[in-house]
Amino acid sequence: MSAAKRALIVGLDCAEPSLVLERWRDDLPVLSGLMERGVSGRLTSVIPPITVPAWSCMMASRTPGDLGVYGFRNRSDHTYDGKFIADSTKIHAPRLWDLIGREGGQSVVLGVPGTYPPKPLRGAMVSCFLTPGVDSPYTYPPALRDEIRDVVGEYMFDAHGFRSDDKDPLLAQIYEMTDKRFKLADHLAETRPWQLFAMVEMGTDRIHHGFWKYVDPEHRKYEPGNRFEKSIRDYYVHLDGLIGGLLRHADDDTLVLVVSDHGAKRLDGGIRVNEWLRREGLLALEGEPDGVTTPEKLGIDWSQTTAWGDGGYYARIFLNVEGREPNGTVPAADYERVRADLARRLEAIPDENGNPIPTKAYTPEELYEKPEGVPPDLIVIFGDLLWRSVATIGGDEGIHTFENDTGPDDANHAQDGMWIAAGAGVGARGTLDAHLLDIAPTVLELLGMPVPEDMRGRSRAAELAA
Amino acid sequence: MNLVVYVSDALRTDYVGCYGARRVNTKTIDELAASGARFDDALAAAPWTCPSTMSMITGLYPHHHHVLHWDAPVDPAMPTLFSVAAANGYTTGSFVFDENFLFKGVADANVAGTSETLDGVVAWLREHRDRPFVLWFHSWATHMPYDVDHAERKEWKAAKESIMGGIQSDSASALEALRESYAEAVERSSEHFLAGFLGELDALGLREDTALAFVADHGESWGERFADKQAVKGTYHMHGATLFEEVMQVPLILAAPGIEAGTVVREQVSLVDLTPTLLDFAGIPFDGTDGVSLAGGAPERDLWIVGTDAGRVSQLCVRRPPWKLLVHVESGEEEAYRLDTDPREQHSAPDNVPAELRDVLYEELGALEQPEVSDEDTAKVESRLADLGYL
Repeated sequence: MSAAKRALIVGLDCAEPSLVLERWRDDLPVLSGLMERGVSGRLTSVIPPITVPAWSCMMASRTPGDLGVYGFRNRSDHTYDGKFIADSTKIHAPRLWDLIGREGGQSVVLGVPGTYPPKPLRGAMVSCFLTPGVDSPYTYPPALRDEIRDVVGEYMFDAHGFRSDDKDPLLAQIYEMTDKRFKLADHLAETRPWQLFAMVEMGTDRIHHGFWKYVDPEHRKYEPGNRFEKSIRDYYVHLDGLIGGLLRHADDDTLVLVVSDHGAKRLDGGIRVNEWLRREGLLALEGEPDGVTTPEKLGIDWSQTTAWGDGGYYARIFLNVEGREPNGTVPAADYERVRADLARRLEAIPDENGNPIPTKAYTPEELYEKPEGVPPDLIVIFGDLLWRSVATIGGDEGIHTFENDTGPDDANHAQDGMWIAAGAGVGARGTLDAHLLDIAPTVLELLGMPVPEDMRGRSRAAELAA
Repeated sequence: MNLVVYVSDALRTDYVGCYGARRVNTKTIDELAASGARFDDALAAAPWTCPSTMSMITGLYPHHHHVLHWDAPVDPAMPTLFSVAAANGYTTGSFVFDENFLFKGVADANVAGTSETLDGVVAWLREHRDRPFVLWFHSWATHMPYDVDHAERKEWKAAKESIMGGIQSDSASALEALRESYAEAVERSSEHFLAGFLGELDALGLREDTALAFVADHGESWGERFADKQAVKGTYHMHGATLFEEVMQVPLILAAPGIEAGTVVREQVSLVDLTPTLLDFAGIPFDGTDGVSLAGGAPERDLWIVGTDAGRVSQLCVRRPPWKLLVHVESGEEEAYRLDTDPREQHSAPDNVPAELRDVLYEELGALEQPEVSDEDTAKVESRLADLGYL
């Protein structure tokens, strides 16, 4: 006898445990109800804690190294321009719905990152926020697209311009997107048979990035009494109601999970990695930058370059290695020494006032048992994620920047997301912290299905037991 | 070694004596089978002529050759039985039911006439007897309406309408009459057309130097699968709309020097194997397709069957006895039949299918490239099909 017959997973991208589990807990009757009936806690994410690959890591219980996916953009080989965007075709590990399908179960998968283009499955799939638009084939089966139009009108994959200064339209868009997604979720949960229902809402991530400075007194741009002071809280309250509506599809045999892929925290600023590498004499350009630009645009003198970097929530640093890169300069024999030296120097970059920040430069080998694909040579998390990595060079700013290279961005990702488990197979067990990689094996065990041996996480079913 | 393919359009196995028919005289077909190899579980790659025939000449399944309607472009770089043989010094020629359909856009098919009588093909054989040749003879003698030339358009349409009317009336006697006229057509196909054709090969002394395949491009049905008989509007609903065994299973007989008389192959094979097999008899390599040469027997493998609608793949089916699993591409709806316990495919049981087989199907489905079919093309597709009585 399995503990649960069905699993309903509501993913909230970037949902922050300190807000949901603590600060606004009393404002969220549905989620706090689940917490009281079940368990809740922090859900430590993978490194890097980013939407892509984190959701795929969660659904497959495999590390970014296993997947060979280290972010949205990845190197496809050791050339300088070989890159790919990590879409669904790049995720080869079986995810929960694949595994449940193999046991004969049907799934509804709605907006889970890493599902565009949609692949056939036993059930229904609506692809994720990376879908180019409603004109792209974004559903499985294909005929579902017409049904969605009938149910919600024009479906929305993402809110656009979330790094814009014009906040009112952004807020309206986030609400519209979320409402449509939950309306569709309700429709699919009602009309489709499912053993697994897995959806991910992106609005939580978008509202954090767009509105964090209005709500966090510790943010350097916070202004007390601003009119968006309650924007994030109000959105969570709204979301709580929508989740409550969806829970009408969860009967006594249904396991309910509310999970996030990472958390959110204020963003203090950006470290301009390539500008820093340039000033350290490790990155040579083919000319002097006239204003803010990127090394790619200006051209890199590879014959004089030791390392270059990529931006994002964390820095990907690549070494220019002889015999590996086309114009490598770092002798293979010196690789470890050069990399260790670079790691030490990156970790020593201080904030703009010269105060140390707790930066960590990891090698892929220390994070992952067997890194697939082309991993970065260093994975650098600046200042415990209060700082992000910025790829630009030139301009008036130095190493530090307080305007993102793609517009204002108020929040960064925090390493820990959250999870709440309740329903079939789960007792009122209070607080239980877990790892993102534990989710898939836990779900499988509660559904009475085999847990593949190569899953990296461990089932927490015994600790949840009612 | 000459290569000859004799296609009897829409011929069901259960109307052929050597496949178990009792009341139909197919002596010539039966003797041919006794002289060579009979394949007891041969499957067409598609349920109607255009995509099935393209699979037969290319060794590719329909979703790989992409010729899913009569006006679909044929990739000139795609090797066919005709082009490969021609490149190896063969003379090639074909006789078809209507020159406006087969083999448009197929290089080296050299359509030399129609198959409504044997006159053309006999003359062709006499002319080309001295050089190695590939000859394709596609007979419509077993395709409804029976015994009416497609060129006699008015008469043909009237005969077709009368058959559809009989099916739609859902009357047992009409259906019996239809089956009776089909049985007569099969007899005529065997004892007049095939017998005359083989007689000419013998008269010219060509048999000993010829690898010959007798085959159907698909089977046939009479609306049994439609609860609403009014929905059976044309040939497409007799063969084309479904992938059931009566439409997919076909007779396949190979007679060639080196094949032991009375050979019976029970393993499933596909008509994508036809061209690799024939070219193998001629010593011409033909690799890199979905088919395999059956000269040395039939390997165990999954077979694919592809349904089409309006120029696109509408159903994808994998067959791994005892299971046959198919998915309707647009709706995602599955059907699955256990052919050993449910040979008539009455009880769809997708929940019981081995998960691994579904993975195989979904992998193929995920890789499916649908051709672009514009509205203009769709109109053309429909008018061409109407012309053949499909719609």
